[in-house]
Amino acid sequence: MYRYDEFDHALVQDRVAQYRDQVARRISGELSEEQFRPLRLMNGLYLQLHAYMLRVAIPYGTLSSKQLRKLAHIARTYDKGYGHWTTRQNIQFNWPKLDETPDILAELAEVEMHAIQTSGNTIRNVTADAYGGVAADEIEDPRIWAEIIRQWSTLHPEFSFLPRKFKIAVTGAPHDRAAVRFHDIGVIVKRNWDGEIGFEVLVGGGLGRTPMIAKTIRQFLPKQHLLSYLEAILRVYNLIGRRDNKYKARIKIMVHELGIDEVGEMVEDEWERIKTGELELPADEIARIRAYFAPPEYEALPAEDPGFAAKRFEDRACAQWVRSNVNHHKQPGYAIVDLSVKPEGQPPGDVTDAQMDAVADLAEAYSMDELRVTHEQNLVFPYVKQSDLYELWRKLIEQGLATANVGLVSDIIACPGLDYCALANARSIPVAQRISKRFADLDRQHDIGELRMKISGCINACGHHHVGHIGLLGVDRRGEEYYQITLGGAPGEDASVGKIIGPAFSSGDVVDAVEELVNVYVEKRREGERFLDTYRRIGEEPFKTRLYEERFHAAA
Amino acid sequence: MAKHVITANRLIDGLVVYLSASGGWVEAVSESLVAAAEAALEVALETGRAAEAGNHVVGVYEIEVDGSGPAMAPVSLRERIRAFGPTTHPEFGRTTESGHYQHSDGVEPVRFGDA
Repeated sequence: MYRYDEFDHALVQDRVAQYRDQVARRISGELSEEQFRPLRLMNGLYLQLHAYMLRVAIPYGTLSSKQLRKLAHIARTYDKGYGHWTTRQNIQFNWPKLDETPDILAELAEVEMHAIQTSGNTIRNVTADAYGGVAADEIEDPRIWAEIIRQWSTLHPEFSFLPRKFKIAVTGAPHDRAAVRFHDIGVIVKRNWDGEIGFEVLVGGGLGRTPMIAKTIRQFLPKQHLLSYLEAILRVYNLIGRRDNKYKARIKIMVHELGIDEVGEMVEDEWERIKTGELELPADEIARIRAYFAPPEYEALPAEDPGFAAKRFEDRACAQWVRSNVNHHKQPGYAIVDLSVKPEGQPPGDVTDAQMDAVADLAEAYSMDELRVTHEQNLVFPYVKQSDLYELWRKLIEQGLATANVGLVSDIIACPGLDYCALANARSIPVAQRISKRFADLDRQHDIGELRMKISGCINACGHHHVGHIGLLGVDRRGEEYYQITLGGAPGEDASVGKIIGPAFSSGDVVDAVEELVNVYVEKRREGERFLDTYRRIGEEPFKTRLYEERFHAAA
Repeated sequence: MAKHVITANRLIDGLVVYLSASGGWVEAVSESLVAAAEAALEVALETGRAAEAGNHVVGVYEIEVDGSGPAMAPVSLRERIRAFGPTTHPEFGRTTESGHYQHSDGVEPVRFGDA
């Protein structure tokens, strides 16, 4: 993994000292809230419903055991003993005290972490495929490029006051596990006709109140030009992106209004001017960063571990867990393990300090000291020997992190919703908990198969409802919580935006409605079809008819 | 006029607080100063704004409440959640009233970490 050099250390420590002084001036009254607010936001500190909330960046979702132990320590010492994995591979602490936040940032700096650019109209924490470096289908580790982007974008003076926030995601594999098509910029590592590795660059994707699928602005970008090209895009956006209306300020609106061709021409013009300048990446610099992400020292192992194959045959529950939570690794004899942070009936993405400590120990013992945070609010052990899988599974069960539901209906993305968030209109977490309990039977979940369920408590769509196979959007209807259902969204390479199926359901009815939608799928599906496939084949009518004519005619 | 109280977040820890009759800030909504007339509400809001200007609290505004004494509760769901805590975490809440934590199908949340 990447290690800070002297410049990184100095930068983060300077920022802690600067922030400590700003907090002291706020508490003494020298700074008003109006003056202090942009300063705290630059350091990831929000003021939410119940308390301050600190969002800590986890660049491209990669953590060491040591870093995770530090997060556990922070949860225990400065918070109420838990943290929350977000949909952008960050962690949020929900109860820090203002006067203690400088100490938290100082503690984070000790383990090469910070909260810089986790808020504000800046380039936010860069995300990447959580299986980076280990996925069997990968062309190249996306984290090399995410780290290069991180270094370029951190405290970039020209892009500290963009029209609006700006999110970049990178995938190194054709199978998109990073939702790159729903980011301001999506970067896809690919090969051109000559077999050279470079990037396809997409621009103008996003969720929120105006969901858009990103468009390709460049089919193939040679590696050395990554930063100059991104800089050209950001420059064009910074100059002509709208600042008059917050809701029209994201780059997706600019791309939509001007068209991708016109934006593409402006970017190319700007790029021509700067592409051979200081941002052109020297090969030795790429090699230097690449070395940090060199594959670990794998053991030479057979492709299939015979001992584990036998265990799997004997233990049905283990086999079920392997089916949903264990993935193919590029290295023979190894596996990628998803830790489900969606145990039955629990808030999605919440982990206790004790769980974090236990996971850190397990990562040290079974995953070469490293883990990943996914945008789906789960954790990943990237380097597990197949021969260790059975033992690891038993230990994860003790921690409540072995629910065999990854990618299934109870593996729900949910934003914090009205239980925490100052922007929310309705609660998200309790609905997720109820759906999780309704579908608690794992055999049933496995029979239903892949089903991406996503819940947002307001139109800002932090819960990614637009890209859920089934999405729920919380709305406030005369003081009551209602949930609008969208169907057919998909976050990956087959990206689509879900369509609203009809009038919203009350909180009391919404879980029944979701179950009815699943029932329609189970009745209509053909061999091998996921929920999304069946929906795409048969359209919305059968689902609509079931909900609004047969089941809930009174609700509509 | 419906009953109102003044709320804000405390500067130092961000916690939800309410203006009390003594002019201080309390964590329990049931201990807050209740304004039942326009003039009283205006005076209470002025006191709150002065506390904001004095950097004791952030984001002063008024909310509607129902009932009195220990049974007093904000009218809106958002404000009930602010007053009593996240409905998913009884262990971090400020009320013993189980209704606050009951999901709309009657299911009580599991205490966190008891999976």
